Amino acid sequence: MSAGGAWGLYVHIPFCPYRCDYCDFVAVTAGPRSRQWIPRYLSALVRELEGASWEGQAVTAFYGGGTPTVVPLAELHERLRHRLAPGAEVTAEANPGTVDADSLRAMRRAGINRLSLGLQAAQDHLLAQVHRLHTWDDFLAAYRAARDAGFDNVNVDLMYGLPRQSPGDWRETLAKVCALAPEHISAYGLQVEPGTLLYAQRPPLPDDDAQAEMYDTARSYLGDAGYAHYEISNWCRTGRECRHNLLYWRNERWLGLGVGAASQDESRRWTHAAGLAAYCAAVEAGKRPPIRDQEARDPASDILVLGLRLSEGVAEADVDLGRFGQAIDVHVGRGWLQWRQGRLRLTDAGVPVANQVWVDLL
Amino acid sequence: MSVQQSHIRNFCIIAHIDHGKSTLADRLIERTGTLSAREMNEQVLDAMDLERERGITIKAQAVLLNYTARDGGTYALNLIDTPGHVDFHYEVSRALAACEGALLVVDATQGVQAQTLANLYLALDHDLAVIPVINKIDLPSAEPERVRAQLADLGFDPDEAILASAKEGIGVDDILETVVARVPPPHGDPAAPLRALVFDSHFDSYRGVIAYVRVVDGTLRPGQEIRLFATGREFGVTDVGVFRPRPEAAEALTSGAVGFLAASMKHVSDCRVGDTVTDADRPAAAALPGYRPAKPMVFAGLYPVNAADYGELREALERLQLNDAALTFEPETSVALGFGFRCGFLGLLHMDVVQERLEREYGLDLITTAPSVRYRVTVQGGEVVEIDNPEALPPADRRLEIAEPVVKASMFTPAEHVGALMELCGQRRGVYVGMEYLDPTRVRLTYRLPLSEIMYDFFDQLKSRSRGYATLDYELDGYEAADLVKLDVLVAGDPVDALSSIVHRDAAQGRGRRLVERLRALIPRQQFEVALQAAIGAKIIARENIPPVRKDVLAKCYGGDISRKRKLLEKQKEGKRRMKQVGAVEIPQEAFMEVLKV
Repeated sequence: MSAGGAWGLYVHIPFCPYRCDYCDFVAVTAGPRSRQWIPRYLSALVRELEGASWEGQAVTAFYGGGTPTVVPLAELHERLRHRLAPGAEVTAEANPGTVDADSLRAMRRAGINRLSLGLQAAQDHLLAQVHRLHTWDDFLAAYRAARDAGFDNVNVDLMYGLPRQSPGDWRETLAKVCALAPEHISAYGLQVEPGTLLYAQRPPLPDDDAQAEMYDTARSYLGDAGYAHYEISNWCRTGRECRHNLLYWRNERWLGLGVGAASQDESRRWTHAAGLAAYCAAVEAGKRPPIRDQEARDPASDILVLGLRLSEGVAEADVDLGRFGQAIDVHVGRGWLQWRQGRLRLTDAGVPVANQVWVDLL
Repeated sequence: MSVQQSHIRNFCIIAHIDHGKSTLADRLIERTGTLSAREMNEQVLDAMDLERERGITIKAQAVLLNYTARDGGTYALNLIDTPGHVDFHYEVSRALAACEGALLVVDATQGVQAQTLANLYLALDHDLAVIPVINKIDLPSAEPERVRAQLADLGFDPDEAILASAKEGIGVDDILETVVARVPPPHGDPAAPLRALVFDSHFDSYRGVIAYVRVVDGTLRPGQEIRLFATGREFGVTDVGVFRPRPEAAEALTSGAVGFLAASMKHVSDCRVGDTVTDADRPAAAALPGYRPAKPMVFAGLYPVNAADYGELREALERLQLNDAALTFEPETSVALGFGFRCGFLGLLHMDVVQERLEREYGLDLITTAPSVRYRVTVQGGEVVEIDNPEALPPADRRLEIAEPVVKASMFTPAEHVGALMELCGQRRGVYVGMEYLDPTRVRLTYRLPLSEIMYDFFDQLKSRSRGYATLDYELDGYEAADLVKLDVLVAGDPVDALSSIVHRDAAQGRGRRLVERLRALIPRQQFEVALQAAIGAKIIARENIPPVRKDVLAKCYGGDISRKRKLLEKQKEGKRRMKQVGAVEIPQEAFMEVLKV
C-alpha cells in the first residue's frame, strides 16, 4: 500500500500537432495560436511542482500527452528533475515525426531514460485512416534514432481493432515490431469514445469477436516471442515492466502536474480541469490548479480493480474477503479468477472479460 | 358559499390536446383576479410535475372565479378542468356531469379534431350549453373562417363562435360574458335532501381524501354526517371549501355550488369518482345517475429488480392507490421474475404514469412485463374464466374458446388518409363499422378493434400514416371470440413466463421471429452461448443464438486517471443492476416490454 514511501510524478503535455480520430484525451492541437502557450505552460508546470507539498523524491516520472515531444522536453526535464530520486525511471511519450537525432540526444542527456513510441499499426493505410501523421518508415527512423541516442528502454504502443484492420495486418504489425526487439510493447484495443471523430464517423470497425481474436493473437505471438504478459495491455522483457505504471496498478501514490492530470495520495484522488488558461492563471497566482473531479479512495476495492490487471495479482492479505469474498467465489466458480500461491489473479479466460469481474468488486 | 343559484355558472373547457385549454384556463384565472399574473405558475390547473412534463391533465380540478359582469352582477364561475386523454373517458364524463356549460376550444390552425368531437358529443349527451371558441387566431397560419365553417357543419350558429387568442389575451372578456349569458344557472332544490356528485378526489396526507363535489340539491356543511351511495360508507364532514385555486374553507356549499369536502376518508376508493354524497340522517331517495366503478382494462406484472424491494413496492402501490381508485394490484409470482404484483390500469398511459411515479417518487427499480388485456376463456364444461396473465391461460386441450375485449374506435382524419387508416385497421384485425364525411375533406371513421391491437403503437401508427392529422377516441364495446394462442419464449432452453404473450394465430409466426431477433439484440452476451426460441406449445417457431462474451475489458488507464476508469465500471455495474437474473442468464428490463413492441 501507499503509506509514505514511493511516489511517481506524471507531467501532462496537452499539445499535439493533430488530433487522432480515436483520441479523447486532454489535448490541444498545436497551431500557431496554441504554440504561444507552450512557454507559459511549461513554467506553470515548474511552479506547480514547487508548490506541491509532497515529501521526498519521486521514484518515477512520466511525460504523457498529447505529444510531449512537441515541446522542448529536455529543457523542461532539467527544470523538474531535482525532485527525482537517483535511478528514477523517466519515461517520455513520443510520436514519430516529432523527434529527431538531436532532440532525442538532448532528452537522453537531460536524464530521460525510457521512451514510449506511438506506432499503433505498421500499415501506412491504417495510420492514414485514423489520421496519424507518420508512416511506418517514420517510425523506424525514430526508433533507430532513439537507439542511437542511447535509449535502451523503449516501449512501442500498438492498437488493434482499428477501422479496416485485418487479422493479417495485426499479425504483421506484431511481427515487424518484435523483429526490432523493443524492451516493452503495449497493445490496446481501440475503444470508440463519445466526442471523438471516430464516434461521429463510425467507420467499419472489427467487431467484438474480431477484437477478441486480435487480442488472443497478441497474447500468443508476444508470449512466443519471449515477452511476459505482465498487465492486461502490456508486455515486456524480464525486468522491464514500466515502473511508473506499476505504481498505478499497485495502488501507490502519484502526483500529476498540468491540465487534465490525475493524482492520488493516501486518501484521495483528484483530476485537474482541462482549461489551459485557468490552469496557468491559478498556478501563477500561487493557487492550486482548478479541479474537475475528486473523490475519496476506496482502498479495498481499488486494490482489486487495479491489482487484478497485473499477472502477479493481489496478495490474499490485501483482499477484503468480508466484502468481496462472495463475489470472488462466484468468479472463481466461473473460471475467471483463481487463487494461486496465496494470491488472487485473473485466469487466462478471465483477462479478456475482466470488466465483468470488476463490476462485482466495486 | 351561499351565492344565489341564479348567479352561479358551472362550466368546463373541452379541447383536443394542444388546442390551448390550459392557457385559456390560466387567462380566465388571471382576468378575474383570482391569481395575479405573478402568482400564476404557468398552467396552475396541471398540478403534478409529471403531468406538466407530459402536457396532459390527469386529475380534474375546479377553480372558483368571481366575476363582475357588464350587467353589474357578481357571478361565481366554477371552471372545472377535464382530463384530456382517451384513457380517461369516464373521468371526463363525470366532470361534464358537474357542469351546465362547456367552452369548446378549437385551434384556428388545426380545426376540429376527433377528440374535440368526442368531447363535444359527450357534452351534448349531458345537455350542456356549448360555446365554441376559436383559439390561436394570432398565429399566421390561423384559418378562423374555415373553422367557423366546420363549426357550422356541426350545427353551431357560425356567428356565435368567439375568436380568441388565450396566449395574447384576446377574446377573454367575450368568453366570460358569454359564459354568464349562455350557460344556464344550476336549478337544484336547496331544500331537498343533499345530493352532491363526486367528480374527482385526491388523497391529502393531513386531511385524508379530498373529494371534489358539485352540490346538486341541499346543503353540505362541516359537522354533517354524510353517506356515499355506492359504498354505503358514512363519514363526518370536517371541512368544506372552494379552490381559488388554493383551497379556502367555506361555511357551507349549497345547491349549485362546486367545491371540496374532507371527511377523514382514508382511501379514494371510499369516495369514488361518480358517486353521490348524501346526508346520512336525511338521505336522498336516489343517487345521481351515471356512476360506474373505475375498471382497469390493461394488466401488467410489476416486479422489483431486487427481490428485497418487494415490501417497498407493496407499500408504494398502496400509497398510490390511496389516490388512484382505478389502480388495482394483487400479488403474483413469476418463475422468471420472482415475487411481484399484477396491476390493472385504465390504459397504457395510466400504466406509464404509475410506473414512472414508482420509479421516480419511490426510487424503485422495476421490471414491467408486457401489458395484457383481460381475456374470457371458456373451458371444458362451459365455465368461463377471466385471465389477465398469459401464464394463467388454460392449456389448449382444456379450452373451448378465448374471447377478447373489443373497442369501438372513432378516428377523425383528413379524407386523403382514409385509405392508409383502413389498411392499418385491417392489419390490426379491425372490423369496419362506418364512415361519415363531416365536410368534403374530413372524415370520421369507425372501427371495432381488439383492445390488444391498439394497446401499444396503434396511436403512433395512426399519426404517422396521416402525417400527424388523424386522431383517436375509443371506448370498450364488449367481447369477441378469436383464434388466439399463447406464444412462449425459451431462454437457454427454459421458458420465461414473463416473456409469454397471447397473440392471434395468424400473427404468431411473424411475431415469434421478430421477438427473438429483438431479444438477441437486447440481451448482452453472457459467459456461454444462449439459445433464444419462440414456441407455441411444444412447437418451436423461431430460434436465434447469442454468442458468448469474448471481450469486455478496459484497455487503457490514461495517465493514472483511475477515477474515470472506476466511473466507467460503475456505469457498467448500474446497467447490470438493472438486469434480471433469469436462470443463469441476465436479461435487461427493457426486454420484457419488447414482447409488445414486435
